[in-house]
Amino acid sequence: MSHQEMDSQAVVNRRVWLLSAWSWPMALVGFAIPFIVGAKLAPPPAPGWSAEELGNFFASNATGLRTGVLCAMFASALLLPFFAVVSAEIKKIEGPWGLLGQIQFGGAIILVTIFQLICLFWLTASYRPEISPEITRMLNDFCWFCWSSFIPTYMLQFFAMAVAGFMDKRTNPLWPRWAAYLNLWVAVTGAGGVMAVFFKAGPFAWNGILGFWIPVALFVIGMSVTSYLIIDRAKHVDGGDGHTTKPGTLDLRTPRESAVRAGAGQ
Amino acid sequence: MTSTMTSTMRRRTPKIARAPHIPGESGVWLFIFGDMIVFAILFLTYLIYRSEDVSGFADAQGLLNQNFGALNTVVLLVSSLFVVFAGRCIRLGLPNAHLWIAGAIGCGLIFSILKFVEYGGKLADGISLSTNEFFMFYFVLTGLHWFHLLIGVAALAGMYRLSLKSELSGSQLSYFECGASFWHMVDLLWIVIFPMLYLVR
Amino acid sequence: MTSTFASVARTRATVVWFFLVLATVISWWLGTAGTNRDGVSHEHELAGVAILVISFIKIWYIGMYFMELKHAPFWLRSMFDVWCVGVCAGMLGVFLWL
Repeated sequence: MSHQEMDSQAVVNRRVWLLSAWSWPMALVGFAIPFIVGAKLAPPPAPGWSAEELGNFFASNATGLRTGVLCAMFASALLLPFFAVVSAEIKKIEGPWGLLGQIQFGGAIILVTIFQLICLFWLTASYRPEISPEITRMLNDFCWFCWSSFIPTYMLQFFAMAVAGFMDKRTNPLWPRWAAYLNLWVAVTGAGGVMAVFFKAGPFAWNGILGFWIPVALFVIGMSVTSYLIIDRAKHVDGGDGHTTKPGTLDLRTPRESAVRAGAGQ
Repeated sequence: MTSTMTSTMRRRTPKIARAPHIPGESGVWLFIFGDMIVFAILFLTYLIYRSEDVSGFADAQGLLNQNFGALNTVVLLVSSLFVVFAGRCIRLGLPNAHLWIAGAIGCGLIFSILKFVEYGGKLADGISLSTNEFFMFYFVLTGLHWFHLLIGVAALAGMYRLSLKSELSGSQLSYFECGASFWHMVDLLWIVIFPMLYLVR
Repeated sequence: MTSTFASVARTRATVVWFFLVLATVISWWLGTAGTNRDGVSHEHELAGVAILVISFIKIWYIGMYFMELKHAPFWLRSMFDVWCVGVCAGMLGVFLWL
């Protein structure tokens, strides 16, 4: 590749990078508004509702729920490019032989899959209002268990981010120490949802403060912090890594690669 | 500044000249305060649920053995003091810091044994976390606390290995203080859990 | 050996510790003394308030002398103070008025 081709490639890369980092705010808004206003699925319907009550909830709000859930499904897909850029940043920290980036992205694929799946299950539950409400309730139960208790890979994902943050020894780290602890915190509070299967009410139920509100709040905060840090970093001419490159480009090389390049007289 | 001081240098620093010092590093305090806030929310939730069924909760509380709880409190207080002593040994350059840490780990084990005996007794009587709301909170609060104690013991194990060294670097000292602060938090949380669950009727 | 123990133990934290154990015993006595007397709810309430307040005083001392927040920067210490006062007040409020 010539220098010009490399530079224009770098410009494209930077745009993809920035867009991916912005995917989080877009996903958040694109998910939250349809989910809360359209589908009215947040706050979650209480596990204590009778089957009839839940059946009525689905039947009375059918169009809103179907449209809301469809929009939410598309919005949650935007998480994929976001987590991709997170893994790319992790790769810069750990170098070409690291595994944390893959572990994070693996967990991310599973997380996005689950969001897509539960949207499809909600659509299924809403499809034929004439079915027995027990069936509707069970489909809804499944969705909320996915939301609250699908935790093991979620924790791995955020542990990987936390560990990468602690490993980052550059002078200008992506995640400052407190942000690494925050990711650790996201992983730990997510675990609160695991108890949901034991409770139909109370703080640990899927609509409870420890089963739903705290994990969701921490997820939103943690993701927003990471998203902000990546966007802020990508805006810098040098990609925040301290290597000077031409203005308008983004140096996506790892510190080691840059050193090798520098040694080779580039 | 103090984070780059070795333990020998710290010994020579006069007390008056000590600038404000963050034990460990500031990031770990986000973790510790986050934990304390979540537990605070749990405490308030417990009291709110209790207020809706005061006599029911009081009856269930009557089934608890308060001596176990008091004993566990003293065990944790002793372990915290041991951790303080270990820290002083390292800072003052005195020997046997590792013995104090080992003592603290031992206390953690004693606490765990007492807890399992207590749990065993309850389960043998047919009481579990689905028996009633009080016992739901009892098992969840003490279980969550014990889980934190486990993490604390793991941190103590790391601190034990550090305490075997003759001299600690700045970042090692920082790690030691992080672990110590976390352990004191474990102690501190039990200081609320014990009276709240066992004593306040 | 005893002189090294003395140098290690000669710190305010040890004095604080004795008071913490004493406070634990007092709380335990306050909490258990009323078990055999049912129906005297006002005494229970008073004991409960005392026990909770004592607990948070103990916690504050642990923070200051064990966690060494006495020597920490103002913002860190304040966060701890606010947690102690806030949670204590919140718990007392729910305990007394709900």
